[in-house]
Amino acid sequence: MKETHKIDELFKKSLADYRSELPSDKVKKKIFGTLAYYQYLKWSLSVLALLFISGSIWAIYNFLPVSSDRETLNNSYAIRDKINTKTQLKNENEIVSKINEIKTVSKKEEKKGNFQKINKISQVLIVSAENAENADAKIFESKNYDVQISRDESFVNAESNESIESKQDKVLTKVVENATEKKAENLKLVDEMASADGLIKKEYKNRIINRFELIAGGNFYFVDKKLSANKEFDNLVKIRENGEVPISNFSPYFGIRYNFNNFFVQSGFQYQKYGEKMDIQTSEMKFNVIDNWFHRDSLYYVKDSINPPGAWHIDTIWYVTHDTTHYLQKYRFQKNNTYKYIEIPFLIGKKFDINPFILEVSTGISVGLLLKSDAEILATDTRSVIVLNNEKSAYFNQVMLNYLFRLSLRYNISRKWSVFISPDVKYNLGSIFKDAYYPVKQNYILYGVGSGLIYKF
Amino acid sequence: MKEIDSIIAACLNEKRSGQHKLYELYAGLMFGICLRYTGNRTDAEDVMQDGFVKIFQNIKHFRQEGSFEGWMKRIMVNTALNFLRHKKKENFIEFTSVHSVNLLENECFDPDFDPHQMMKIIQNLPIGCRTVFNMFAFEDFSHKEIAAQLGITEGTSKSQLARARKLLTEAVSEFKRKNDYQLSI
Repeated sequence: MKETHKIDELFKKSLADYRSELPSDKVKKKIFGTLAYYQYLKWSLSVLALLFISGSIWAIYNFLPVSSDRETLNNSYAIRDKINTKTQLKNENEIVSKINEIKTVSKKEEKKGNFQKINKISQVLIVSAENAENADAKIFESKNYDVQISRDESFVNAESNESIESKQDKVLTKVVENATEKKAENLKLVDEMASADGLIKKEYKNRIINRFELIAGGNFYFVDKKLSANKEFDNLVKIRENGEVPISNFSPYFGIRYNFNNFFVQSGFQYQKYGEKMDIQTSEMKFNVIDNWFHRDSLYYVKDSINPPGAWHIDTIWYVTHDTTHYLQKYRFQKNNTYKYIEIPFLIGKKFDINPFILEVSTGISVGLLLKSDAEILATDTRSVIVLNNEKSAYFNQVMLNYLFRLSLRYNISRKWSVFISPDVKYNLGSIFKDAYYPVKQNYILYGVGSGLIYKF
Repeated sequence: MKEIDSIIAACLNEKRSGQHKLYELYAGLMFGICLRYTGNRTDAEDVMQDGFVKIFQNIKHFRQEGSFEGWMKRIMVNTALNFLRHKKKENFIEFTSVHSVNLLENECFDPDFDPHQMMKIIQNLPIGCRTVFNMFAFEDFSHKEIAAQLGITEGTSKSQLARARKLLTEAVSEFKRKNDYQLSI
């Protein structure tokens, strides 16, 4: 059972609902400033993600050229041919339809005995055939048919109406025959095109998916750390540099990549841990008012040889002395500091074929979001530490930008799977602490070697 | 709907007006807690800032079953403890020389002490004693819990509490004596 005490009760009763005078306005400003910052951060990241996704979609559908994959290329040639055929067929269909129309008009005029008009119609028919792009050769042949039709009015006048009628009729009959044949061919081709359309869509879909790759792997990082501050905190920086050793770590990674020609864009998630082993010893000169002590050899007497000669005195020389005014207070701080981040890289890279390998060079940034912290850092007085075991602490920059440069050597073990090894360099573009809260800028530089698997869709 | 319920609802929707109202309503109470733990205004303001940011960010986790004020106090106390934990390790040493305190057994204190004076007395305690006393007397932590929270032994917690009680008793007695003396004049 918990012991109670009157003094406890007295203070508890007096201060149970104690309301102090309000803190300074800057506290309120800082609180709402921090909240506004978090909100801004949330929106910025949402907008960034949205931009990235919409940009990727836009690039996929509008910008990026066809993959260089041989099979896909062959398919694309076939598709292109079919598209051309379809365009040609459309033109031919229009011509046949026009010829049928002219033929009908021509027959009507023939019945009326208006041969001059029929001649004109024939001319239109021929001109149409001449102008028709990609028209069937048979249509053109009509120009040189055994009966030559002159465009000259004099020719029309010279021939008898009967002869012209006969010639015109032959031309028209031939044209209609050709048109009928064409129509049958067209119908067949239209059927083929219907299936070609399906093929085109399917192939297009496949081409898009085939450009994506999934990547899973991890990097082993050797960590270096850079501390910097104004001159007045040089001592703090020196003590920290001497007493802190960065800890190497392993960082798993999962990503997705989109390939176009010999380039690629890549994103994903990486779990990243920064940290150091801290073992700092500092000291402070203190004034001691309690524990001053000293010994003297008061057990022994010495003969005073000067004044008065032969007299015995207590030896007044201290045989053990201690500094009775100051002593050195020592402090020792030990801790394995860790700051855990989830990082989202945005990389762009180029591939080079070095048979049988593929060399990839990529660069970009990664956005790191602080997940957890368990750390202590030496305070500016060098005699105490600031505990940072709360990732929401105002000391932290919640978002950290990093620069990334990566080389990767890739080997295809099958059509779908590849392995890679990738040395890389990453460094923090900003300090992990806010300048306003902690005067020492702390940036990590990571030298990594990664490895993993790539799956191609 | 009570006023506090509407304020909480506004805070849940991240409305600035609601957050300002909540701050105005509880700033004095919370700052009192911060002062009681940290002992000075500068540190108390740091704790207050961190604590209120946590409150606004975690208000969605507040279960409507219990007291909202109690929930806020717990967050503020935890923030203060985070701030103090390991901050001054050397102040959590064990006081083996402090004997059990019975100084109050025969004393009768005036229950109407000025709270501001009482607060000053607590603030003037050394950080180790103050933290243990606050946790034990105000938050009803056991010595085992205090030891776990502060990373000290139960023995250290007990000796710190004994020392705190001794110092507080002396301070209260002194205060009372001065008061009586002034009254007699």
